[in-house]
Amino acid sequence: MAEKQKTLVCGDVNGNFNILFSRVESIVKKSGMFDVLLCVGNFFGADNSQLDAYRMGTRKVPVTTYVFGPSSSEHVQYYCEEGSEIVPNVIYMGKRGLFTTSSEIKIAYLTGLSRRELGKEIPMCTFEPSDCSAVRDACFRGQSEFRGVDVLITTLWPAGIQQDDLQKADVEQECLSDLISWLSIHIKPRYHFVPSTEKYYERQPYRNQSVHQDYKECVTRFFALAPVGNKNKEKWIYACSLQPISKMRMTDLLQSTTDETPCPYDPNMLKQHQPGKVVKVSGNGQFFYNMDAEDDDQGGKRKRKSGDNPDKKRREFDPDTCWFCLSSPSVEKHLVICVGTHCYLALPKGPLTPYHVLILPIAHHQSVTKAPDEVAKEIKRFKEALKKFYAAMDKLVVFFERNYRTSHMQIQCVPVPKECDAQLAEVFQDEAGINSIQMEVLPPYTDIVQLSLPGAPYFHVELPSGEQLFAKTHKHFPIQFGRDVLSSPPLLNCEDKADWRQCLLSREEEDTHVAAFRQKFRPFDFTADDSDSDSDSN
Amino acid sequence: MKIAVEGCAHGELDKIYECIETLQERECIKIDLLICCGDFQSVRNNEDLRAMAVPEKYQHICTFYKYYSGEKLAPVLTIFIGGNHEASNYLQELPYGGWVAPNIYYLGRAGVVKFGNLRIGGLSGIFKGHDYLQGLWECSPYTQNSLRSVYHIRSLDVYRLSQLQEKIHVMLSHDWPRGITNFGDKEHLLRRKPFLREDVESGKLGSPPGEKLLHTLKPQYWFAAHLHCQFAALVKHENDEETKFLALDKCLPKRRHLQILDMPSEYDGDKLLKYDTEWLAVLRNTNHLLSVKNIDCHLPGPGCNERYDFTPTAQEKESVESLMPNLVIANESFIKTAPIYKPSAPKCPPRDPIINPQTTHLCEKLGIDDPVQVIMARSGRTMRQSCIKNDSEPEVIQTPIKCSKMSLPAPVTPSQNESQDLSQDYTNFTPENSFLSDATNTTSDCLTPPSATKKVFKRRNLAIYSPDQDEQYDIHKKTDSPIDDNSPKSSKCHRSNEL
Repeated sequence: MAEKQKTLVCGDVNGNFNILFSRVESIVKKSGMFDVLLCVGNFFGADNSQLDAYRMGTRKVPVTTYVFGPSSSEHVQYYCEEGSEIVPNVIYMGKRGLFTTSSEIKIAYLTGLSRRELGKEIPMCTFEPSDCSAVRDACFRGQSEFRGVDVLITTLWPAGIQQDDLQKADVEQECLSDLISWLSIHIKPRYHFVPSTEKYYERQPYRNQSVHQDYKECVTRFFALAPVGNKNKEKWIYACSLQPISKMRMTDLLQSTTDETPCPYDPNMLKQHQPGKVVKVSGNGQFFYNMDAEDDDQGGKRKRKSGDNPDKKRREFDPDTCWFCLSSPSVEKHLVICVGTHCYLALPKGPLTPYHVLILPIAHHQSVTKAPDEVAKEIKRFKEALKKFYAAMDKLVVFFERNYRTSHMQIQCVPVPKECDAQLAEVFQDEAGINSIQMEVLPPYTDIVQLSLPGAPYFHVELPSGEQLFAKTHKHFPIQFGRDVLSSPPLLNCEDKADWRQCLLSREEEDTHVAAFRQKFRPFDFTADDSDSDSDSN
Repeated sequence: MKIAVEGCAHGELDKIYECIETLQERECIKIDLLICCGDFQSVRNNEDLRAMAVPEKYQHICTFYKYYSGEKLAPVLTIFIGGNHEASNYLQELPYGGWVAPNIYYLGRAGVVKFGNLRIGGLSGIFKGHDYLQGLWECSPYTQNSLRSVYHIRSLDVYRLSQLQEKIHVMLSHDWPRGITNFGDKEHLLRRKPFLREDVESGKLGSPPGEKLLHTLKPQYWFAAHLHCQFAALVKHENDEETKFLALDKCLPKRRHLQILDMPSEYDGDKLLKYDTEWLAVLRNTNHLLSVKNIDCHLPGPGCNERYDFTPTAQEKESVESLMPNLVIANESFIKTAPIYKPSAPKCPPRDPIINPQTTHLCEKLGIDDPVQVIMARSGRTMRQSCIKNDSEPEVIQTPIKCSKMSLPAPVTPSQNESQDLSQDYTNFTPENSFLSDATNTTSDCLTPPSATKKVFKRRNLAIYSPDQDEQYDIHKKTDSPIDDNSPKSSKCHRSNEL
């Protein structure tokens, strides 16, 4: 039973396939079979003719080899489709991603150059800051307790890594990237490999830090491997036997070594949800961005000061003036679409799109977290019905609830075109970043009721994918946040409607909207067929 | 096999053992095992007293210290779980269970052990929603806040218990499973404890994870304490299995605090205390889910991209057996880690956590983490060595040492078909004296003989433990303290009528 994965890593191959694979063969002969060979840096070179023998099958690739994205436009032509074989037993993995090997080793990679830091885009060979967050998100997804990944492979070096207590690596400025530092500080690889153009460099291991409680995390060992078969006999292949991080004892991961150093990257980056912040476009058309996270900091402090104490200034509630209590004289009855046992559907004032509706409890409940089970159950039922309803119109639906300066719970249900699906989470996160809101991505199966104290303010989004976004709101939470995001250009593109007061409908328009909704919703409306039988069994 | 079950012990070990001995003589029986459902108060010395979440004037040393120091020996093997009045610093030394004194075994934060062939599970602490999803971030020295949150049930422990598939015979919790009152004489309970009405009627009384475990584990017996009143219930599960639930009172004269359970002889086995293979395998499988951060943690479930079914496979259980060929938990592994009680010693709050060789040993064997050790390593602190020299003390390890020979099994896809191992003799198991039939008249229903020691109880009994005197009251009084403001959780949202 192989619980450790025997791994080989090599630097730039530059087309020297024969040297590489014959060396691997001799290693295998000496120390037994290896599970994977990871090629960091350029796989192809000026002359790639040696590969033909492997393609024809006259020579064999001894160990399953993984190749990552190109960083030079001349090499793009040699690559095949992501995930398929370039030659037998050599697999192209694409430029970014996370893959888990059969022995549960997690390998994250983001290769190529940084478009932002390079100042220009080379097709296939450059990455965006959003690629960094995508890799980070892939690592975090579904991880209940994120410890780190086993291996990180990048083409660029993380800025700051070149110096340790004893030595300074001789590396060109353009090989250093702050974006990679950001990625590395977030995903905490146990091993980080990059290609080096000349010298082999092994940094002293550094200790990662956690965002929480100044806790220590695992140690990162950084290696820059020299090009395959280099003349100076610099080390270009590295062998290690890896145990998956999830199978290790935390106690062992925290075991300190004598030569470890603190993390060489700016710890403030840990608090930045997105890598770097674009400040402005400077005169010569170049981006520059600001790594200091002061704004984030203040946001965090603010949250801590005020977020905990929702009960302090609770306004007195008067059921007669509540806009949403069905029994209240203030409720605009003509907006009501249909009424269930505990909840009802109504048209909002100033809808974002024609079929934008609200789910509201009939009785006065402040939020889902404070509502009794039967209300929560019926909300779920309404959500299911609406999902089917919107699907029939070929749309997806975003539900969001803001329990912050609201007295009566409202769940906004906004249909969005199917094309938006891929971008929804990202746009929400981007907007949250701009507003210094910390948004947590919840797995689809978590229940918000468990998450929040009854009464604590929050903002909660349920995306079509089932993914949920959750933020504990602080004092300056933008009231229209949900509408702001959905009305933004990448999604509904109706920024003029972000504020509901700016797009109020006339009474006649409202009546038509309600009538149209009612009619189309009828086949999905469970309140119609079981309004008699569904007397509450509790 | 005869088992005595006790409600809240509140440190009155002398009383309880006396009671058991009286009973043994009167009924001419031999009691094999005593089980306590929390509030055990395993207070060794004055330092431990300060780790207990009760107001200072009620911090009494009681009688446990005699059993710790060796002055007395527990006459019967005693197993207990933690409640909300505990020497939390001591219990934190033994997160996966261990001897707190010779013949007195703590089940751990959550745990399963075997006594003979009887499988006993337990969940320590009480449920509080706001701490339920948090990591296990508390360690001594405690703040006003962490002194209380340390004994709040965490989702990880419940998650681990819910992975079990082999039959649990006896399950223990300190607070009651939510909704249990629907399965017994609710009106009778409310007549005796009218202040519970609001909670009972709104379905808020008791612990939701307890309720979940009750319906997934379907143990034959479930014992609880906490509310200081006796209450029996019979839960019929969908598959026709039954759980007999009994909540017991605390140890006071004329209170129903002790129940004798007569188990059929097929459970006798060797009558030795043993680790449970399935439980140890669950601990190994879920070790990577341990979080010690004071943030909410989400445990894997359906729809996530990692393993979420940690019910051990046959292979995983085998590898536990090969790591731990001897499952017997021998009394000899007890080690004193703190000084014994000296009345004159200053009552200072506990300092840095002490490393307990019992835990270190188990963790090294299984390749799992001790939560407190992880907290210390993560925050760059070191644990205190036990200050007591035991003759038999094995070499104590200064700092966690890399265990080189640790071999873990290859990941295995969780299998769904492991559930067929329910013990076959379950159906014909009917104890002669079910406490549900008529608890008042059975001979085994024991009232403490009203003896001369009554006075002692009166003094201690005044206010602290009566159910309407809630722990939250103490918090409310102290919310102005500066420590509270810095602590990560505000206590201001607590419902003050929760128990």
